Amino acid sequence: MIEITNVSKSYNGKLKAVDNLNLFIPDGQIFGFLGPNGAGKTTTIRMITGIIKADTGSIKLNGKDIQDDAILAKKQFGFVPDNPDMFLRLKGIEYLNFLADIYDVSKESRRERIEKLCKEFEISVALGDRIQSYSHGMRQKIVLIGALLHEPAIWILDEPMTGLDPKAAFALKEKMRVQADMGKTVFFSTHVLDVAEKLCDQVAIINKGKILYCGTMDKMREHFKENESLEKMFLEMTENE
Amino acid sequence: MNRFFKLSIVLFKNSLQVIGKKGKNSIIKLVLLFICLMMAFAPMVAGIIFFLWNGYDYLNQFNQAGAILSITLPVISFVIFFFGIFYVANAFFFSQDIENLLPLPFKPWEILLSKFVITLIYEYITCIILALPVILIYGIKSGGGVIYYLYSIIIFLTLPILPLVIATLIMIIIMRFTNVSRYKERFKLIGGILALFIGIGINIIYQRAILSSNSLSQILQTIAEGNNSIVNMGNSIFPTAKYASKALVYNMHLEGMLNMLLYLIIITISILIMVFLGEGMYFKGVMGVSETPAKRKKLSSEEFSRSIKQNSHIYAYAMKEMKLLIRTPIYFLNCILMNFIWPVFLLLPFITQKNLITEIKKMIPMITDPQYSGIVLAIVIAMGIFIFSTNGISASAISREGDKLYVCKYLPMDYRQQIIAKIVPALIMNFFGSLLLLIGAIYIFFPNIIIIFMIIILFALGALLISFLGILLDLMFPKLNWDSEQKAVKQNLNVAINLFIGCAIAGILVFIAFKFSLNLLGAFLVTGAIFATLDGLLYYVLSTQGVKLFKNMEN
Repeated sequence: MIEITNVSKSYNGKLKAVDNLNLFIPDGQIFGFLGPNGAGKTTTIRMITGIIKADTGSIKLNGKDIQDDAILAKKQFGFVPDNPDMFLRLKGIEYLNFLADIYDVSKESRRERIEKLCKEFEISVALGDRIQSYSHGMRQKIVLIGALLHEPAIWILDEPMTGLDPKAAFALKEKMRVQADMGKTVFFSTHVLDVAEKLCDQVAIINKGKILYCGTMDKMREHFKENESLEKMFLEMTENE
Repeated sequence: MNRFFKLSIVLFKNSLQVIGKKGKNSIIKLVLLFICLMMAFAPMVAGIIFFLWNGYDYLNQFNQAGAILSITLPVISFVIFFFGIFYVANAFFFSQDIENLLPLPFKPWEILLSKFVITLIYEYITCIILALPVILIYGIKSGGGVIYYLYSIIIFLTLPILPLVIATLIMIIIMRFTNVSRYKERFKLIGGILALFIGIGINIIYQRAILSSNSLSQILQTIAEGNNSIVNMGNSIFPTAKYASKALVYNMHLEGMLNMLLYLIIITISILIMVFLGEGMYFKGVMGVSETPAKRKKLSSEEFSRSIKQNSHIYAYAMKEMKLLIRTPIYFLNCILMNFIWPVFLLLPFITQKNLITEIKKMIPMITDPQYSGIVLAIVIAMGIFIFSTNGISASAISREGDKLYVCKYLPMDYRQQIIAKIVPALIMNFFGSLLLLIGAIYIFFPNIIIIFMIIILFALGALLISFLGILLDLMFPKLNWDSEQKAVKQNLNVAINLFIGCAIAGILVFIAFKFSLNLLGAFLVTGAIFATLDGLLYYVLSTQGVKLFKNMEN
């Protein structure tokens, strides 16, 4: 569960990247965060994950405030950033073991989870190689696995489909569904409207730092004409701004 | 030619971003740097000037004042050559911008020469500190005229060229032949280290040859001849240094002009050779430099078990830092290898001069004499502090994160713990860097266990001090905006400021010991108390303000 209350963030005191944002993301759902480039998606995600500080308002992850109770709040989620090019000179297995250490995963659990997840994402053969030798998709996979190692209650993904081949994208979507069905929260941002349309239980559309819509896909369709594609609704909303 | 100039200008502008962000911070940083520079270099430059000023008068008695130039210019050339190898390895072969330049329609020599020009500009900084006082003092004392200063300007601007060309040639040739293995990066690193040893080796062999070819009586005879005859004694692997000295000494004669001409001809030819060789070999050495081998083989059950050990947060984080430092070539060259360079420099005289060890042995009773041991302790600690501060690990600990700083911020690990974990690799390398010095100290002081203990304690406190200072600087002025790792460590002012502060501390330490003629216990207690107090204070600042800075850092 993620609770975002009256959150604002401006850069250089002028440009308001996020303007009085209020969102409630319940457990057991896949929540899509949509918006055009520069709408405030990544800024919001960076505030939720504690990377940057909100100017005003509060963000709670399973009741833990990301500013006041930072360490506990950070343990609630697993995060997949939009760019997986990190720790390139570590081997895949070293990266995963590092994360397992930081997230206090026991030796037995990490062995079992690394084996299982690497098998699911078909990356077992590359674990002994440096991440630098991985393709973009493989890097994305190792970061995905790293984010799931401590079995977080909340999964936060920034543009997770970028660079994944159809098979890996399918595996990721399956994984997201499984997580939500287990009662966990899955929050992700995307440009790919088709994905959002097929996958999400709820969506929020953000533009110029403000939420334009938040609710289920069905309600959004009701709001607009029935059976209209998300793309058309999205364009209509963001263009009228 | 036009494209070469344009590329040089672009590369130069790109390399100017020494200061992280523009604005208030950068002004504070510049002021801080200026103060540190003044503090660190003022005594050194004053010392050089004093030495040269009096040295001139002394040599002038024998009519040998020109020796000032003929002795110092080769030494300066060697220093330039030595650091040139680092610069060239960094800028020509490991810098990430190479991969962006390769697809552009540049000829190899155009990229090579542009990089050469940028490196040359950096070498001028060394020249300002080392060569300028020499040339100026000789000019003033000998009453040099217009021609002298005209020659001086030309020589100042061109002196680093030949040493740098030789460094470049060695690197180009080695990299050409190490760029073959599947483990390119590793091989290239070994190549870089090899180049350093070749450089040092050539110099040692050359010095030995000169020492043996000139017997003492010959040298004395030459000195007795007067008339600046020492200038004619060929004594450098860099012939340009000799011709430059002669051109300056005989500036009013035809001989001076001929030497100047010869000097310029050699430099021009050397550049042509570099361009010619570079055109054929540079790309072959640099292509695929960042390729990483991949086995794509499933880990065996044992390998897997070995890889998933459970560790504490600080251990895991510190090991991650250590691995990145060792495996990233630019970090390896500048943060790891640097630790061993200075001890090697300190050892160099012992290798080149066989008699030195026996001379030192003769001095041992004096060194260990209780009357002087306070001062000796201060000097050893000062040397240690200097070596600690040449390691830029803690002063670049935050900057090295670059645009991946955000990872530190979403990990569920306390910022204080992260700061400590980032200091650990610096301390580990300090330990290895000072080991050689420690062994030397143990050799000299052996039966006296107390002084050895004192050195170890003060080394530990001093290493903490320099590391705390370094990371505090980097927390205050992190340089996160870089496109090449080189900029995080090599072109990072925090590393330079930390070095200057280290030099200043070392200087002050020796000064206090001399000024107050401290005895052993006195020197130990004073230094220990100062270090321990500063360590405590800095630790407190890091755990409060440092954590706050880290927490609020955004990029």
